[in-house]
Amino acid sequence: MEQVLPFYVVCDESYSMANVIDDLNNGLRELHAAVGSDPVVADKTRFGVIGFSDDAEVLLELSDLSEVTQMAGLAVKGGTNFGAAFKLLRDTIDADVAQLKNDGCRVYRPAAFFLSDGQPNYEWKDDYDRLTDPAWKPRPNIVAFGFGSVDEATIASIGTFKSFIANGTLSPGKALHEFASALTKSIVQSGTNMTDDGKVELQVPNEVPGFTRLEADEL
Amino acid sequence: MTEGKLDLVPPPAPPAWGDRAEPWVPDTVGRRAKAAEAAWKLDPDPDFPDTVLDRGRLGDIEVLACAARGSKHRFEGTARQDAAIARAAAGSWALAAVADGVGSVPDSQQASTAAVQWLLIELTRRLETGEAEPHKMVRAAFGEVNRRLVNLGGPKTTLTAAGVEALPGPDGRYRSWVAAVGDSPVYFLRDGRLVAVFDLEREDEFGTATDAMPDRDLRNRLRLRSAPIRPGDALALVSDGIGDLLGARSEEPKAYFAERWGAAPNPVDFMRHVQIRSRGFDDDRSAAVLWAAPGPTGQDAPALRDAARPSAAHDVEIRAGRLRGLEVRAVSSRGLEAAREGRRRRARTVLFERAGRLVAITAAPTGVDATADHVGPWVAAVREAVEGFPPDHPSSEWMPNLWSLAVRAFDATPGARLDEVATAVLCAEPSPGGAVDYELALAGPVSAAIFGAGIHQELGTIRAPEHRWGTGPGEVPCRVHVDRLTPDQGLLLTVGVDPARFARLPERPGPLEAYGVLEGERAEEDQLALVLWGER
Repeated sequence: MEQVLPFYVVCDESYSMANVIDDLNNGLRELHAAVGSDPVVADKTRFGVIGFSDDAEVLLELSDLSEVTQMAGLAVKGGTNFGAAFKLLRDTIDADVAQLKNDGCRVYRPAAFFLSDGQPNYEWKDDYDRLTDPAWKPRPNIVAFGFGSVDEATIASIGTFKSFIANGTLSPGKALHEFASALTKSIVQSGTNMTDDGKVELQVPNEVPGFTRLEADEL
Repeated sequence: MTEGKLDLVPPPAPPAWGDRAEPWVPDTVGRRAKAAEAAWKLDPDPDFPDTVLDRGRLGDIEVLACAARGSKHRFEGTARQDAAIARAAAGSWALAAVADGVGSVPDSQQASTAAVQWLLIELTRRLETGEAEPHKMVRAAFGEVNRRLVNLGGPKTTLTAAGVEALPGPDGRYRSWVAAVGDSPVYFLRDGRLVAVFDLEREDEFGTATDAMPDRDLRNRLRLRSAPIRPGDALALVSDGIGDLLGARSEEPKAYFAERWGAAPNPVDFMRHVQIRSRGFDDDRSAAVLWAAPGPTGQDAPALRDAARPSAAHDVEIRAGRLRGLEVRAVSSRGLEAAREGRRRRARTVLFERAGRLVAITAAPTGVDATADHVGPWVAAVREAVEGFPPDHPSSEWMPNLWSLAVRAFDATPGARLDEVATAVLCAEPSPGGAVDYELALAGPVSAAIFGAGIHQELGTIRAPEHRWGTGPGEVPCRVHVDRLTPDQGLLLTVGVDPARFARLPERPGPLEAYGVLEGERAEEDQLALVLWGER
């Protein structure tokens, strides 16, 4: 019988991520510390991690971060299969929401932070449409971050809430650290700024250092 | 780090804060709420104190109304956005309202606080002019409040209200109505069961959207229903801070309130129930409950205040928080005499931060003159003086200078009489190791005591004031102490309550316990207490 705001990070683990994976893992560690020191946020948010390359897997089941002492870190693998990530995210959200509701929780609309540095080499549109289907009630707000060789238009078309693309002003490692910091801020701000009119539940910074925000009309 | 694993170190748990001991600590349903155990920051605007409560009786109707900051606003140091009120109208109707300022709009506490007051004033005006048809009257009053809220220029609020006639009709039932715009629900309490009066379904089960005022389409937003009640029944109006708990699939919260609110609890318990803890439920809390409770009452039963004499003052007000290394509690409560006569509380405590220091003002009437309010203008004068002359001003004698500025501003008020006020003005800041440096100005019969190890001593008996002011003819004498509390000492400012009651407590009191001390020693006059100590 809690009120829960689920957050998911959906992260590219393709080979091209090799140089930056440590920065991302450090970012997750800082996220854990920030949530643990804010009881309002810790009480209300849950956090899960999905990694994807040729396939997708749940690296951290939707968890109460203040009770997590160890998680599978991100590790580089093969190609870039967006579709597998979107499909697993939808299935995971369905299962998590059902479980939370079964536990008597009230669930707020989930938020998903999607991060990729590469071109998808699998078909993904159908899985994306299923993930964002207006008829599917727990569809997540998606915040998309792109960097490396990712296509700007692709990233802009994935974010349903906000989209960002790395602009080269920071090294990839630093940019990803900023991504993790934006994620932390979003969780803390959203966890503490639950509003009554439902429109601005998710609080994501408009500016993330090292990234340029893509406007929806740039599609 | 294990291969491929991230080891994560949880930060150390913060020390427990506030009310920690039975019977003061609020109960928990469901999982433990860590946010509810976190230290509070002070209210950012002293005009919106952490917790307020109205109480009283009109005819057969007993009413309690309480609004309290939720753990989120307490942890962040942001303002309470809920409001709750209870009043009597035209000597024949008990009225109550709760409002929940919409969090996504700034300053929504302005809207909620104004809405509950305006609504009760509008209803009273119509009742006094003999408007007989309740629904027509309620619609018109909501309409008027809706119009006035537009003038606030942005803040929005839900608004839920109820009226119950003070005496039963020929059928033994009490005429009543309930009305609501937005998601602050109303429950009907009968035979140990809570039943929602209005449909509670949200349009988007994953969202938090609600109707709110002002709204151009008020006619279609306002839900209104007659709800005649029988002796023993009650109507409970709550904000969604409690409503979401009651709407949860678990039966536990419903059972909790149904069991405790079958008949009116004492006001400290009511306040504690309102602050029930449950993980993730960190929103502001408010509840106003009207019980149809015919039967004899004690001679000191408090009377519901008359809505025709509008005032923002609630019958009880609690402020508390931690500010840099300082811990403070401040409580004021309506005295027995004012309660019997349905008058408002005039004793006041105000806490705020200025230039990194804690500034506190306590003031209570000393005289028998119930018609003039000297306390309000005095507190306003001191606040204004602090604004213009903040405590970081490089003046060697800040407090004496502040005092004379405040006196000058107060004297400009027509009819102002400082000899009708018992007051203390305090400025404190932490000193290393848990000590507290303070400057304290005292005038009139206010007790200032140093306490520790179960005993207390009046400040004036252990130390001569550094300054004495106002010793000339016609002036009000003021004594100024500039001193330091050691880490094992606390400072107690009280009116209408024995300081020994605080000094003897085994632990330093949480906010509810501080109010409990006042309730344990009801006095004819208004009561107030301020307790300050350094964080060890």
